[in-house]
Amino acid sequence: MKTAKIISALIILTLLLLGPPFTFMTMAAEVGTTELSANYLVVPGGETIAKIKVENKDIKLHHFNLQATELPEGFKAYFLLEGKLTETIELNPSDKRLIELHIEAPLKVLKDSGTFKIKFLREDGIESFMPISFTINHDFALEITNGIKKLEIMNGKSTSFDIAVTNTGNKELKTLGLKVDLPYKWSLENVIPDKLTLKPGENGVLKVNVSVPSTQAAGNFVIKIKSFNEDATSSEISIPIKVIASASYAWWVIGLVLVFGVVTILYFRKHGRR
Amino acid sequence: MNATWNIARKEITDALRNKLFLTILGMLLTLTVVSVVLGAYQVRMTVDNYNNSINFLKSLGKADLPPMPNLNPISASKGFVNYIGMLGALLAMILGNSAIVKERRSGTLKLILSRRVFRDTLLNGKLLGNLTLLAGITLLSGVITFISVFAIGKVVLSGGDVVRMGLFFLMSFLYMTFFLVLGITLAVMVGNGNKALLLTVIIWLVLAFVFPQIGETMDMDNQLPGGFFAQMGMTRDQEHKLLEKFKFYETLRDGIEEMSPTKHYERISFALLNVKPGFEKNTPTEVLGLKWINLLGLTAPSIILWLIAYMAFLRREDIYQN
Amino acid sequence: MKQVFIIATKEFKAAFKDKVFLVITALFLLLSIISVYIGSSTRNAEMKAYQDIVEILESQGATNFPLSPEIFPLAILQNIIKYVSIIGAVLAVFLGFDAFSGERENGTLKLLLVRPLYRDQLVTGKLLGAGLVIGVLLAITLIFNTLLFSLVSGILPNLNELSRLMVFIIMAFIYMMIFYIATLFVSIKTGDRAFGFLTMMVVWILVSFVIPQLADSQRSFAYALNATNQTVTQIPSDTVISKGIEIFSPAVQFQNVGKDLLQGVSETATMNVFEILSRQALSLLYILVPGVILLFASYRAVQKEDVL
Repeated sequence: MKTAKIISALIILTLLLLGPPFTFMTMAAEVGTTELSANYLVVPGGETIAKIKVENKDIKLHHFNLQATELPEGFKAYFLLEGKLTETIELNPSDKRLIELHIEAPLKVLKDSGTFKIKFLREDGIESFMPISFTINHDFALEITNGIKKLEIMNGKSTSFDIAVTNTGNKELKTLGLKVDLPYKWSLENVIPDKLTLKPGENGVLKVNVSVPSTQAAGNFVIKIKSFNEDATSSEISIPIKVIASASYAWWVIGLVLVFGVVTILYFRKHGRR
Repeated sequence: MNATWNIARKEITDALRNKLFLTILGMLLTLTVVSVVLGAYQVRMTVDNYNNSINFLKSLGKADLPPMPNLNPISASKGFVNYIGMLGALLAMILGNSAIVKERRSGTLKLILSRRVFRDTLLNGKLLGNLTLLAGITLLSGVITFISVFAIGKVVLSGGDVVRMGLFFLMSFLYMTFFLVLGITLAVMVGNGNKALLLTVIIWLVLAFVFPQIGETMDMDNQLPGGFFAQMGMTRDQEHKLLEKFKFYETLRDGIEEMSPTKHYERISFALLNVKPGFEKNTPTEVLGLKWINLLGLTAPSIILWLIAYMAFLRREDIYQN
Repeated sequence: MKQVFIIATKEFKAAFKDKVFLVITALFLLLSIISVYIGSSTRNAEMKAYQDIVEILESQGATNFPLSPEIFPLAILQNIIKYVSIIGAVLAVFLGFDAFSGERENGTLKLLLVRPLYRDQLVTGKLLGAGLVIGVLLAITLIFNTLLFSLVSGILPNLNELSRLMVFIIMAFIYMMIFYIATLFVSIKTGDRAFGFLTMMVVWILVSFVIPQLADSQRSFAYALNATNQTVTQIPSDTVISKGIEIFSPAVQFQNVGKDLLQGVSETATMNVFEILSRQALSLLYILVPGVILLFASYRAVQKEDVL
């Protein structure tokens, strides 16, 4: 075990010196094999994907339970197999599969680097671990601020609001865009400007135009927005928005009631009350 | 005014002798209790289930957790609104229809009108009496609900929740009023009592089942299990484009739904009882402020129908024939 | 036997002269047509949208495409299940509510029974007449909707799908007949037709809405995570209690069988008819049992009727 740790530490060091981290690695899901580890660059508030190859070197079919353990505070990790969220995998003898490990880093990170482990638990109780180490990349960091407390809009109308983004990293962020998550059937008219480039420390404002369908019933809704480019993703902000009903329907109804009222009065005048 | 009140009083005593009316009333009250019991049970089950799922999701490291289920047994059973709506409407229709038909059958209509009672006064009396009955029913089911929520669900409702529930029962009263007025108006307009009843029921079917059903069918996302947009993983832009093509459908669908008092009743009730999410943080008056259109859609048809009843009754001559 | 046919023919003709019945029939047909038309054109729009998405992705040089939406042709007709179970049932009630009490109130019942006619023949005749009306109506619905569906969506149903459709129509027939039988029973038992009618409306509300919703409130919800769009959704699943409550609602049972037959459930969408029927045997039983009981009860009640 000790030698394994030394080896992995050495590998991490080499990887760090080499620069870009490995994305592929082999993991023998069998006891007693050498553990390897790779280092991943993680952006605060962003997501990093690590591809892990899992191999069953035994002569029998095995089920493996995957779990990320000893995650630092605020970090999240989960596994995807062929695009689907996975907890367990089944492997035939000498079968290999690629699993995506998604690591999500929080916006505020306490330490600039760290490690955690992935636990592989075989159905017969045999455990093996794979250490994963990460380094926080301060080159790219993005912050999104929400100046709006509450929005109000009439159904069938459109509205616009400003979203401020700040480059809090050390490098320039190019072609920053917004991902706007709207309630069902609403539409995003446009975002002005469509893309933004920010130097370190600089902030910019994006104007979001949203239209609410006229068929939307009044109520409270939430718009979720995050800013992103290839290198960095900001955290997600939620903007509460209140939809109120337009009064045109009401005028029709009230008008109709009045018409009927007048007709009734005239009718009684003509025929007399009896 | 005295005449109106006398007629109203007679309506109430008559209804309390009506077997079918009493049966349905009994069913309504029983169902109220049953739905609170089942709601309470459901709440317990949901909370257990929720905790399990939350633990599972947390172990996956997800932060986007589903919201805590509502602990109010009334919100747990969406059916509650429907029972009150359906059985209440049926009760109201029976009351409205028999208010006119029974007098016509027994020939008493002639008798009352020969006693210098204005026709509109007669109608007012009938309406007043039956509205009092409906108010009594609403109050009774309201009280039973409050008691059983407390006794069975072991939930102490907050002040806001009590007001919301009270408002919901007010809406139920308005909804029943519509069908009462519909029953009276059609009974006045159509000479044959049975035909009038059938017509009332048909209109109810159209407003309460057919229109909402057409609306549901026309909502294209309902056409495929699991929802089309989610299934395709469509981007907003693509979804937007597709919806653009269906704009006419959407407007038509909404228009059809807008014509049904049932839809208005459902919308405002679901908001008040938190069956539909998104109104949890509002005060009761804020909910009303948001949903005032529905309140209007619930009351205006009753007023119009009532005016029609006045006019139709004024010119009916077959009352004096036998 | 001749008498039975005479009564049946009379019932059949009377039904199509009744304005109220015609209104409900028109509603039923209108709904099914709207539903099929919208279903088919929505499907076309969805296929088009899918092709657009693939095109856009292709132009961006992607090699991974979302799977083509799996749309089973009969699923488009699915809304008809609901219409039959709700409007179809009301239709049967309208057809049957004065079948007996009407004759009694008009005094024709006395007239009928003094003729050389057994009482059970009267019931059989009424049933046959109603069966004819419902049968014709469903046949029209079937033919019309299949044509409309093929016309709008451009798909011809294959043999399996046709046989499913046929079995579904037979099921719908049985379901509506059960409501007719129940109405007939109430009509024999009560003197007042308005009372009988309203009683059946209450039964209808119970069977179609109250019981299903009670059952629904007892479903447990599992939370599921969608990996592609990272949302959490609730998936309802049956519990023993919800299953138990549903037994008492033929409407729910009919909808369950209907969903399987009209490819509403993807697991059973490719099975053949017999597999589905054996899978749903219990549901079929739950539908049939109340019908058979009421049928016998009706024959018995007629024997006891004293009109003279």
